[in-house]
Amino acid sequence: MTKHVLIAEDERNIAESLRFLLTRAGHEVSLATDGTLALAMVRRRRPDALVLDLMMPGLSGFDVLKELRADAETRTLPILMLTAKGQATDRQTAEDLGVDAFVTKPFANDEVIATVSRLLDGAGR
Amino acid sequence: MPSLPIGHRVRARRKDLGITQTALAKTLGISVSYVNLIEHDKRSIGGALLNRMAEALGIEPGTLDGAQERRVLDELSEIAANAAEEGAGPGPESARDLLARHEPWARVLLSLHRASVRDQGTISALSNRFNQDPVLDASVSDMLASSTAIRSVADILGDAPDMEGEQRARFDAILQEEAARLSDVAQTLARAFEGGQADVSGLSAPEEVDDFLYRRSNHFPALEAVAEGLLLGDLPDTAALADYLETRHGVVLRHVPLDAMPRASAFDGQGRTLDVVQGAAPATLRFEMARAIAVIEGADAIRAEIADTPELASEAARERATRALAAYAAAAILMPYAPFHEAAETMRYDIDALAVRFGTSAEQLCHRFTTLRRSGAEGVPFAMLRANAAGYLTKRFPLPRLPMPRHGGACPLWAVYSAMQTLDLRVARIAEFPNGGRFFMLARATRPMASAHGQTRPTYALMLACEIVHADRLVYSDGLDLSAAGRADPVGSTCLLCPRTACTHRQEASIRTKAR
Repeated sequence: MTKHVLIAEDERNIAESLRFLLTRAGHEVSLATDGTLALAMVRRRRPDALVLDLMMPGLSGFDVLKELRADAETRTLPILMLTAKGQATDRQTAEDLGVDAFVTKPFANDEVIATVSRLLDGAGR
Repeated sequence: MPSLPIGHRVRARRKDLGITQTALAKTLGISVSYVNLIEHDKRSIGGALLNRMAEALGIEPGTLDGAQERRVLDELSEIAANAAEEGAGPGPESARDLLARHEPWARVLLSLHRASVRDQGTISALSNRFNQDPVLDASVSDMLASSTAIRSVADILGDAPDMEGEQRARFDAILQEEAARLSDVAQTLARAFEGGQADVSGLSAPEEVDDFLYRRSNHFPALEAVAEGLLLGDLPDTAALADYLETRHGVVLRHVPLDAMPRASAFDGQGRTLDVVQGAAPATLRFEMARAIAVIEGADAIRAEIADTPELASEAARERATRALAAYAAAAILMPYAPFHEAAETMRYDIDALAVRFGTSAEQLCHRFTTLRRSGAEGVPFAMLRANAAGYLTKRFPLPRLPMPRHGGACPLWAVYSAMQTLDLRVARIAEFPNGGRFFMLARATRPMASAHGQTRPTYALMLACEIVHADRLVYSDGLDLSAAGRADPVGSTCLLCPRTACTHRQEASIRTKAR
């Protein structure tokens, strides 16, 4: 069955590349260009997984993650966070807030695809 | 020797020695009223009397001389004090010797010192800029975004060499666009560093130690293990600490009057005495006892940490780091990790309530907060800083996304500066940085040391800061709107690096606007 993946990423070209990759992997893909939009889209139609960029204008990836984990509807939504900074505390904060997986930019395509697949298979939690 | 007014120095020296005018007069074989006239500069002295006076006061005759020399002497003493702070160097008395015996050399030393102070200012500005330049920060973000897009798209095209049509054209366009953006970033960086070829590699000892603590996330499992191994319990009381010191290590606690001690405490490991100033706050007393235990029991662990850290290049930095780690271990003894972490989370980081529970000061407690990084039992990641009444940052522990200036002051809108206005009143604020990052800042003023009448009692402002996402774990955020829609103070890091050109609190122009 086709799975629905939402990408929250403000960098248009990175988002486009991710969309291509995940579509080619057989998923249905939606795009949100900032955190506020991502939250609204998740609530309108819960995806099977969320690829979430950390550094976005307005609501950051941390803000989105926190809101989603506070809501019973989305508490278990598999979330992969993309970060530009490999800082240990950023990682720790994301883990504290309940992220399922972490990929650091610039990422290898295979790593993102494999991690999303793993999350969709339910191995992430 | 010319006869210049020397009365105030005779008087000060005599008082330092605790000699009465009568006694001095007797030693010198002159009348008490004559001594009084000399001390009020109503009589000049020279020749034999000057020599006898100097001898009676135990100083060189030359040092009883001259008002102009006094200024030179002050500056030399400052150099000596700076050197002493680094752990070595001449005592202030030798500045008098140097000036009396080798005046030309003293003046050369002074002019070199002035040049060095001037150059340090330049280096500070440059290294601040290097460490926290928003241009650099934005450039690195852009570079990462571009290289991410280029890497990903190039891999896609590599996997599908026969891709054609609209999709292929689209990816080609992305490659071109991102390549152009990378080249723009490179040019911006080149411009930003044009002419900036100064060597800023020489960090001071405090900076080396700051960097060391930061790299280690201010958490040292080996020292936690030492503290836990003492079996002093979850809440070691004052009597237990004193008993432990005395029975295990034969260290005797002595209460010494303030005027007999230059510092709040002194531990002599050889002599097996711990001197603490009389009337010291209970929290200070406890901390000093814990520190003495840490120095003895933690010596091996501390040495091992320092030996494992080649980045601590200078001897002064290694000594400073040794002191910092002893204080770390002392805090770990008074606030053992597991019970402290649990209490902090349960009591929602309530500083006053936790200070009562663990018998510590607010400052000791805030320090301990920043060390709660044990894997699997992490506390809120805090930045901490302390400012003195002049606004200088005297202690700093940053967070990755909350850099703090190494030198001088930070943004005047930070909560730490508001706290100075009212003692013991907490200031809790949400601060938004120019890049959109939001932090919860909590500050209060504190006067750490009880002291005698007539002594200036220092006031410090302490600030803790954490990412806004952790703020709901703190009791202090109750009632504040922590959502992205909530109100936040628009702040920066320092004026020099802040792009908020319209800010009414600006003290100096931003490098960014100057450069453009």
